[in-house]
Amino acid sequence: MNTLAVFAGLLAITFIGSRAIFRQRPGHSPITYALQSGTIFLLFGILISPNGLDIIHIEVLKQLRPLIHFGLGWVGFLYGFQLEWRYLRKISRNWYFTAGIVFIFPTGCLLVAAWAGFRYLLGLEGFVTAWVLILAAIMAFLLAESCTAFVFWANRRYRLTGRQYRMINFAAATDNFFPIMGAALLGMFFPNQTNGLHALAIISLEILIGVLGGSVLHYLARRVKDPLEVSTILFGIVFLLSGIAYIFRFSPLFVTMVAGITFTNRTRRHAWFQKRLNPVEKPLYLMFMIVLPLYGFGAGWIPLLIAAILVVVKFTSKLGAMVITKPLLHASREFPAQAAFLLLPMSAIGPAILLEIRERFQVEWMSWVAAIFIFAMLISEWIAVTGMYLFNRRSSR
Amino acid sequence: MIHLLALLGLAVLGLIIRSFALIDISSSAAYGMGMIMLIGYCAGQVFRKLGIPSITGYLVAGMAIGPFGMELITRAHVEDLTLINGLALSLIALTAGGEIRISRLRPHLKTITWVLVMQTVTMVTGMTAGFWFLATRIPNLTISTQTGILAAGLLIGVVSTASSPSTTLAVIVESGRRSVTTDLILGIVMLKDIVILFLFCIGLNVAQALTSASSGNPSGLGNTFFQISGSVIVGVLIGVIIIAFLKYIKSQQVIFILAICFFTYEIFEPLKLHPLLIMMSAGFLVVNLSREGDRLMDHLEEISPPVYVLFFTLAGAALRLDLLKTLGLTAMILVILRIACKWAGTWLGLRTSGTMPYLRHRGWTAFVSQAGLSLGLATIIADQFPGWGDSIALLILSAIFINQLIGPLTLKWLLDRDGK
Repeated sequence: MNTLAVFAGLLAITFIGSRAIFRQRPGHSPITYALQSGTIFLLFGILISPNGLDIIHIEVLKQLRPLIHFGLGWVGFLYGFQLEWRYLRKISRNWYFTAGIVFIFPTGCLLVAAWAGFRYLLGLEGFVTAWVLILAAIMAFLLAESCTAFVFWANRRYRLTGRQYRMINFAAATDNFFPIMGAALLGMFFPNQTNGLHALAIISLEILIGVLGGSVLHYLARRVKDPLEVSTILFGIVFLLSGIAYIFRFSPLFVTMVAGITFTNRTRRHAWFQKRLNPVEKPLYLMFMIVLPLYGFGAGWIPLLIAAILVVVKFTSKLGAMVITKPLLHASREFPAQAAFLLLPMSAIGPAILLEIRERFQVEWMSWVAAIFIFAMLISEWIAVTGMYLFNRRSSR
Repeated sequence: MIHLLALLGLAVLGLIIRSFALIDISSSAAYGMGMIMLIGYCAGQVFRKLGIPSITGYLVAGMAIGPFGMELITRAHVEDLTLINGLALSLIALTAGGEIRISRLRPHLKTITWVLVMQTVTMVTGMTAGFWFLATRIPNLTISTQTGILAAGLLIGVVSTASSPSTTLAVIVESGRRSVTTDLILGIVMLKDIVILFLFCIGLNVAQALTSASSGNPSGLGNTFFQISGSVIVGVLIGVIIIAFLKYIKSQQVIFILAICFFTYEIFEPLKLHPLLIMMSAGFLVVNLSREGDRLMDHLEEISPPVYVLFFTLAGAALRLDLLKTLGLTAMILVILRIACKWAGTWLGLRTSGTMPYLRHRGWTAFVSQAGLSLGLATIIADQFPGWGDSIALLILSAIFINQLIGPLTLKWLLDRDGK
């Protein structure tokens, strides 16, 4: 199958898919949510992967690299663009504290669980401890974050209103920051990769390139009226930054996120840019979901078992975190359980980060990590949808 | 000022990256794409401030950063990004077809026909004769027989007749002018491409008969007829699809146009049809036979700036500067000869038609640029005549390089004086 066919197929599927998914009414039923959710594209990816029907050959995927690099850069830039200090400083410290606990506590629990799972279930006893820890850390960071789209859907569907639910929305929206940071710092911890000083230099360079990129975009675009001229500059910057990141084994997500933060805090045309950035984002996320299983999917009972254990750990640790922070939010008795279900599904930043790690380090074990992550993503979403349904049915009685 | 600073900054950044890259920069097409877009854009803006068309800026920027310049982008980048070329060429051809409005051209049909005929006659005869005299003085030219020289001269004559619709259109769009002169120029340039496709096939057959040394499958007239008529039929079908989409589906029209341009090139080019002719026919049909023409042209004008930046900067990067070292002088002589023939052809055409006397002496300036089609024909010559085809193709490429630099400038000069 040639590049054109792959490109055409992906373009059509992601374009139509993103329209179908994101045009749905906010309060539609749990069954249609599960069927129409973006995670269905993970299953599609598995189906056409070399492990499935083998429709797409791995060599062809290499030709999609520019698109993947661009996608990572775009997603990172858009995320950074939303971090506007003018608004962020108005948010209560309690919320930051709560959002931090809600992410960090589960991350710690998941790290321990993933480490144990990899060591004793996956048979990585012979591996260097540092490697197993890195694997476990990647998994913990990816699984601890939550999906804003699901929180939004559930809030509308079950009419969950009030300050504490707005906080959950905030926690789900901000926790992408942690895995992106984690991915940026990952290179430092690879065995034989760097020493401490080198690692510091790498992160400084990543920040410097991002700040430079964001500033150049601001100065070039600030007086331009023609939307397509601005798009040319914007696309050029995102392509360039993600290309540079790839060449130096930096994190494209992090570099472009820094560029986005720099730009958003200098420009005065937020609404204009937001309008143009958003439509490209959704198809890109769906593309990541399709492409991730294509790069290798180590399917089997053990990854499935580990994934199930990790989802249970995530639920209980989120529940624990919500119980800890309940007094801060003055929430009701049943709130922690509801919040744990709300924060259970993972967002599409996970596939993006896994693809980024694979592109940067070209590591073999990614197929196992990808399989566990994909299983966990599917299981967590199904559990969350069902859990929310049953919980609210019981409450309404 | 900001664009100049950004240009210098990007060039320095590119040099640093090339020196310190952990892996070969060729492996990141995204990097090449980013460099091309940003440097091309900034160079275009700098040139525009200097009163020079942006197209020249894109081309010069491409040459400067390309594999034959500073090597900020490599040959692999240029090859990786050929997908963009197809999309850009299709878009440009669709726009070009849309610019041919029968209602506007009908009053000038006589002028267009005469200029076209006279230019073709003077170009083919003048360039063939010129090459005949020059041939013995060209270094490394491997044609030994007189018939071979005649055959090569004939092909050079036909290829030199072509002008570049994409460059012409880009300069006209940038100038923001629409007048009788621009209608006339576009009409001649577009129709000339079709005439040249036919003439080239005839020229190829004659050259093969003269030399009897062709290696590949000679493209016969029947084959050419099939390709051209097939392209027009496909173009009509695509035009109908575009009309239906624009009429009944109101959303995502820009994405649809981009997709149809991309796929038309990628699907029909391997089938030996002419994507340029297909898209020109489609554009012509939409504009002249439906009510959706204005909407299509609005969308195309929206898309065109980034496409021009990419396409022409990439084209500049692909130009082989190294050829100029050996063939520069000969190419320059051919360029001067070509300009002389263009002047004669345009003057004769306008005089015979008895129209537009003010364009008789300066009308030639609109037809100097040379790119896409000529590059393709040069490649065919190299393929079909293994003995001497390469050296002739290189000579044509060197001349195209010079013409493409001069062409936008002369056309802008003409447009600035239009109506004065």
